[in-house]
Amino acid sequence: MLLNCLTFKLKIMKNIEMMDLDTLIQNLQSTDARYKKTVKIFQVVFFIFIFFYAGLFLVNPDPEITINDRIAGACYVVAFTLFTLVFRKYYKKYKVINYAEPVKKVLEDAEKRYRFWQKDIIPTAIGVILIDAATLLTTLQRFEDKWSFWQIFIVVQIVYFLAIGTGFTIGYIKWRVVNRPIWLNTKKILQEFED
Amino acid sequence: MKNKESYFKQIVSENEQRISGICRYYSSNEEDCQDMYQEVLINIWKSLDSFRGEAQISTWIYRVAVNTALGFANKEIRRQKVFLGQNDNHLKNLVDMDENQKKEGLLQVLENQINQLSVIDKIIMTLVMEGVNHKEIASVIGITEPNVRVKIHRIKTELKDALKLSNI
Repeated sequence: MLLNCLTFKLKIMKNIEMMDLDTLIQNLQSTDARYKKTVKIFQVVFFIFIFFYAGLFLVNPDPEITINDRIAGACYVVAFTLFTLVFRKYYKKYKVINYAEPVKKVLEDAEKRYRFWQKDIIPTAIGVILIDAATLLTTLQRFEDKWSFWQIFIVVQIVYFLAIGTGFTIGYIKWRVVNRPIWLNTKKILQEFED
Repeated sequence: MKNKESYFKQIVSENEQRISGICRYYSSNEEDCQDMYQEVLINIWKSLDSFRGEAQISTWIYRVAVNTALGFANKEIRRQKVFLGQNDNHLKNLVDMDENQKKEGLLQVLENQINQLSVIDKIIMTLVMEGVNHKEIASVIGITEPNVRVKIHRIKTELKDALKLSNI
């Protein structure tokens, strides 16, 4: 058995020495570049959204744009700005994990990162409510001749929160399957530190 | 970027033994070991920008290796199992034994005992087997040095008792 172990050990060392560091570095550099590019594309897309809505509803001098449109536009702009900031923070947090911290610190960070309810929920929820309000304002103007305020309000809420609810459920299921086991395991190990 | 590249190469070549040492404890086979080794290198690369020289480079490397082995960026929780089979040379750091005691059953008993320990204790024992000093272990784990000493003493006593019970 000891001989087998030794052979295994030598085999591993031989293969590790043979690992092509230059290729690995090349791959790592292209991953870094891809990450930077993704973040940049994302920021550009959201900036386009922000400026598009700001231009269309806030800056646009068209006299047909009502005060409701302008309020809705402001809601969209603030919501997209919040989403941009939240996503940027989230992406950064997930992509840049510092493995060089002490194990306990890495575990504590992981425990926070894998929680279902994050602090980011507050700006996200504000963004969701703002988009709801903006959608309601723009819809009201179009259908106020046909339906009453409450009819429009109920329809918009049902459609909007059905869509949000579907996204939330998918997110929750994904968290439960993928992240929850890691989160529970992290908590368990952190408990070992306490014990 | 060129500097990072050469610094990375230097760190990897100087710490090859340390990295592979840790990887071997958490891999049941050659393929797993290779994968983990590569994962550690990736994480060294990712964390290199944050290295300010506050800790010793060996401590820094052990932190990256152990954190990678714990697999908190992915689902590799199974890697929290320790395999001693490949590290018989380091067993002397764990229990007092002479050459005659290197029996086939010894590794198995120790491996079973170590795998019954908590995750933190397992990490501590792998670092002990690697010959890492108490101060450095404390810095890798993020607990105090006296705490490390107490834990090591307790675990070693338990292992000795287990060996006695197994008549090895």
